[in-house]
Amino acid sequence: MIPVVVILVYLAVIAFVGSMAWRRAKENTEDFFLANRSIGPIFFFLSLFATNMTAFAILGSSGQSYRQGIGIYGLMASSSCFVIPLTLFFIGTRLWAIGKKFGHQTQVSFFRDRWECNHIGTVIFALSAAMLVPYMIISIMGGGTVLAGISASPETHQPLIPYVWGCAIVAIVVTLNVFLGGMRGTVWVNVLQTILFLCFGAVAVAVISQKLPKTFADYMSGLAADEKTRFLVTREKMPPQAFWSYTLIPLSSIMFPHMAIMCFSARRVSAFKQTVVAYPIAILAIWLPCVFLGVLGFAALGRIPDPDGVLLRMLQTYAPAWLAGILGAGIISAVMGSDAHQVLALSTMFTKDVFAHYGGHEKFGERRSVHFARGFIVIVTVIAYLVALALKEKQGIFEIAVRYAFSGFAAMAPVMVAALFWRRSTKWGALAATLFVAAFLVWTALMQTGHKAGDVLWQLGGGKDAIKVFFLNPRGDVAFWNGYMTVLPMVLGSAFCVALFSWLTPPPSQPTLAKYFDA
Amino acid sequence: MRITRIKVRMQKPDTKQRKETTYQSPLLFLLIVAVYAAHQDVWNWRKAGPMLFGFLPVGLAYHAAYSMAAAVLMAILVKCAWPKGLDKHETAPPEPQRPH
Repeated sequence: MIPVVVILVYLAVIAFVGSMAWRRAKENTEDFFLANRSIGPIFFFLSLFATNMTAFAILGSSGQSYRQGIGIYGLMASSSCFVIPLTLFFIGTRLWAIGKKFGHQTQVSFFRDRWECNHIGTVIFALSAAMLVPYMIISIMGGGTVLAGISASPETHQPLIPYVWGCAIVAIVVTLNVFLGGMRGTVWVNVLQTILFLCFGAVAVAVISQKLPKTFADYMSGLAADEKTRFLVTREKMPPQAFWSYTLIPLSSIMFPHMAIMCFSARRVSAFKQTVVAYPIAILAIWLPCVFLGVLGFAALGRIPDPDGVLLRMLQTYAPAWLAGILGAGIISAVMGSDAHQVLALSTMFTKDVFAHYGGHEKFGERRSVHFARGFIVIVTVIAYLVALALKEKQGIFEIAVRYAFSGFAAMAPVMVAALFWRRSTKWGALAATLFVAAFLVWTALMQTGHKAGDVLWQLGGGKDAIKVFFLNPRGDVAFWNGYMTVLPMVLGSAFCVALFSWLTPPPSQPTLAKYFDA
Repeated sequence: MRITRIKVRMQKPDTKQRKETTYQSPLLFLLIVAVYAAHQDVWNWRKAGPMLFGFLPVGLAYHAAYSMAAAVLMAILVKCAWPKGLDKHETAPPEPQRPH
């Protein structure tokens, strides 16, 4: 009961802080979607980080390390420590400058102007929205699951806040923040949320260490000494090919619409300086304790039915109730921080790239465009909530969709690089890459549902010398030659499409090239 | 004659700056490649120990240190390779967009 009260109080504070932004809101899209491009350096870093950190950073990381061991940190966290700040440094800063100079509020708006295209921009928008929607739905599902898990009675395991109510609470609080405060409200709330979940890991490790019957060293050396559990403290079961190809996945970060839109919102480009340096440290602060606790959970709790809940179980078992509540609030923060940005990004994209672009803005004006955006936020959250309820049992499908969405956004990175750095790139190159990525994702989904683990999907040659180009790995995911992740052929294929079709087609007009490259 | 002297004086800092950029760019590129390559620590693949502080497996400790190295790399890039000219947009009002 105590953790539930703590979390509900926290959620009320969050809703209040978000709604305070309402008072400072102006009725124009620049203010609603980008807080008038006025976000200062500290708020920018904290909010950008919250945008990119989902519940997976806390619950998923510990769950995966419970299953696969410490290698998860190198696979997912340290690769992000390297790639995400680099993309912010090279791409994010340029996006900011272009947005500031030409007034762009979305990636598609930039692409349309840079490549003098109209419907091709709409195709890029459609693919981005299609890849973002499952991510948003799974955030609400995650919120419901987390609240049910935290509020579960240790004896009966019955949740005080059932899944249905948990999803509703998260959806309502997120909607309140975004509906009332837009980007400003979301950023204000993010500051509180990020500080909370940055502290989460260290506090959780410190508290749990006090209550454990044995020392950390005892548990870890016990795992290392046993042949059956040794893989948890090494990477002997992790394929090096997958480990290497995963370093391409964080390229997706800058292509996520909510991340790109955040880049537009900074007041000064210098905000990126602190952000790119602090970003790896923040990832370290969250992921290292969570991965460690996931492995420790295996040693301390043994086999549990739901590995993704290992951290919640550790808290329930080894932390005082009030602290478990605060730490639970940290987890919920991670869920809601990214969810709010996803909802806002979808609303920004629909309003600017579809509604305004196809005449809505001219017809209804700025003020009504903001009303449209607010209406869209309510509708999209209600739909996401209903889908989260209706398809609760099929959460795995959304998880797979999100996994492939990461590869899809990563594969769209060459399009952004071409737009920013290659004068000769054309809209046809961008279209070819977008269609390639979309077709690859559909093909992957079809192959994954129609085949079983170990099946070869496409091979060159026959007999012993046959080269398996695509096959399903033991997890049932489509893999590329020798066990590489599909993100590798997707990124290479997308880059090839941009290059080839750009060379084959005429470049944009000289005034447009001069506008973006000669000024 | 006077004009020539002025030209020479103006070229000096430019040449120095160009030289610095010429030397710095490949070095920074190599540094980025080196940090990227360091992520693939195959030598730690099957090792659990030595454990840092007695409880942190070497593979995890290495990648924690790698994260800090990534932060140092970014600090160097910010110091030495910060994109020039972007800050001039901080105060400029946005230009109107052309419809397509």
